[in-house]
Amino acid sequence: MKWRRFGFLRHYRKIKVEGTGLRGIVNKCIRKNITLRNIRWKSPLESTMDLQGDDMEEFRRLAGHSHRITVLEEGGVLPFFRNIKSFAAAVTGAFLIGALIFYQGLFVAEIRVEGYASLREEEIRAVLREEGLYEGARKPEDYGRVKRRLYEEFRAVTWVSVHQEGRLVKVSIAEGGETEEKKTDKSLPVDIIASRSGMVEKIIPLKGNAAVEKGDYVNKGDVLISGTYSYQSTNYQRGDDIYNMYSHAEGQVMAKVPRRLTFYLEKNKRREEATGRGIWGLSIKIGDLSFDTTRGMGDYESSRRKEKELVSLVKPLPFEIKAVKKEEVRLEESRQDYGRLSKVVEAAVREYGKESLSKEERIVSSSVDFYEENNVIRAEVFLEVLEDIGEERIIRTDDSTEKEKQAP
Amino acid sequence: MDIKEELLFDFAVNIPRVLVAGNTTVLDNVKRLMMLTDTQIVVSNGRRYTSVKGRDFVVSQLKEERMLVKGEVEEIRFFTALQEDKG
Repeated sequence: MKWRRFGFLRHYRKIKVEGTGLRGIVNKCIRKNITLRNIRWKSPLESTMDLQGDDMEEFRRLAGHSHRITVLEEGGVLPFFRNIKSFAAAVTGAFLIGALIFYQGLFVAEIRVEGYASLREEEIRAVLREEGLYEGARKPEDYGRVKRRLYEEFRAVTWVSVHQEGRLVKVSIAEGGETEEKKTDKSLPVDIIASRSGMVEKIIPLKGNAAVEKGDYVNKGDVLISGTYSYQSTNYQRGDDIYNMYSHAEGQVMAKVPRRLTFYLEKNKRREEATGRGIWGLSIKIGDLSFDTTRGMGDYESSRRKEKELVSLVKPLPFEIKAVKKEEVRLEESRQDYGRLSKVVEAAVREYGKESLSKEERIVSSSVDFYEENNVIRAEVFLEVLEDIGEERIIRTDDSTEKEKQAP
Repeated sequence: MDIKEELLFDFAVNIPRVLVAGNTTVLDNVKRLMMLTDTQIVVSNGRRYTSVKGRDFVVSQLKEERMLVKGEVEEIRFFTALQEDKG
């Protein structure tokens, strides 16, 4: 009975009452507390009205056989759900469509990269892919990792924004210009000193006095080009004392600097040799769900897998079909050949040169020593690098503004 | 209204009470329906009768002695039964 106050909301029937004496039925309803709604008089013999579903039987009883009662329509929550039940297929379809729309919203459909100048879009996308952000990937909850990775990977990047609009992810990048060379005040007196220890190969003093010459070995901090000049005064008032004059030394000092690199290489080389046995199958991936027909089949001790993409869709849902070949292989191990290892190390050294040295710097000579350890081979590389070792150091005088001072 | 009139208005259960606001009419203390057409409604309030005349009448709710009527009201009359009819 607690539902009675919601009777019409729950279930009501619109009925047509045909017959004489409508008021008789209505009065009976008043006495029995049967609520009626929308009583419409059509003609002396016909009226329509609404009543609660629960009151229908009582109403029929009150009307007796002298009236004809026809249910015109039913409304309320209960008939609504009853109708839904009768359209189970339609409901299922609607639910599936809803679920599909919701599910596809969990995946990235498009990535737009904007704002890059010196960088290439492919390399940015490659980094994004490594961080799990690609078309068809599940939307990450936090893009902080992606941003951090972009900052780490590309030094030129000064600002990154990853913005999500539905299934579209916008990656906006701002690149800074070339970092301006540290400007030093040319009025300050400075010496050019060695930033690293090495053998001087070339010295070009543009301003100041060269303190070393080709072939000299210098330690870190040694003065290479001095900004201090000593002279004897010829001024009558100052006498003939020795004075120092300070200037802003400039120039280039190229020196051979030793560098050491260590690489670790595998002692044994693994080789896969196909035995000729294998199975073909299909790998199907829909959203997060994946199915592979080769899974659990071909119980090989060691195998390798080859895939060929047949279908790949991102919209409306990430969908992939790949032909898969799982083939048995025999693993063979053999000792590494030192000749080949030397080539690997040389390639690594060249790569190091590209990444770490400036245009003016170059590797003059290199030597490699191999040392065998437990399961690895350690390659110790000794490099001689020709590089500019000069750096400015301000000359501290008692009064830095004083450009001329009597020598002690 | 003094307090007597207030009480009479609030607690009288056998006399007509009608409220009209625009196209909505509320008839209280409806004991019996005497007549119902789309132009006239006559109800018994116990001691007296209420007659409402107008156009396009629809009883939007009839519940617990209260009748809500939608439609344009032109005339409201109250009358009593004749002595001979009562007998």
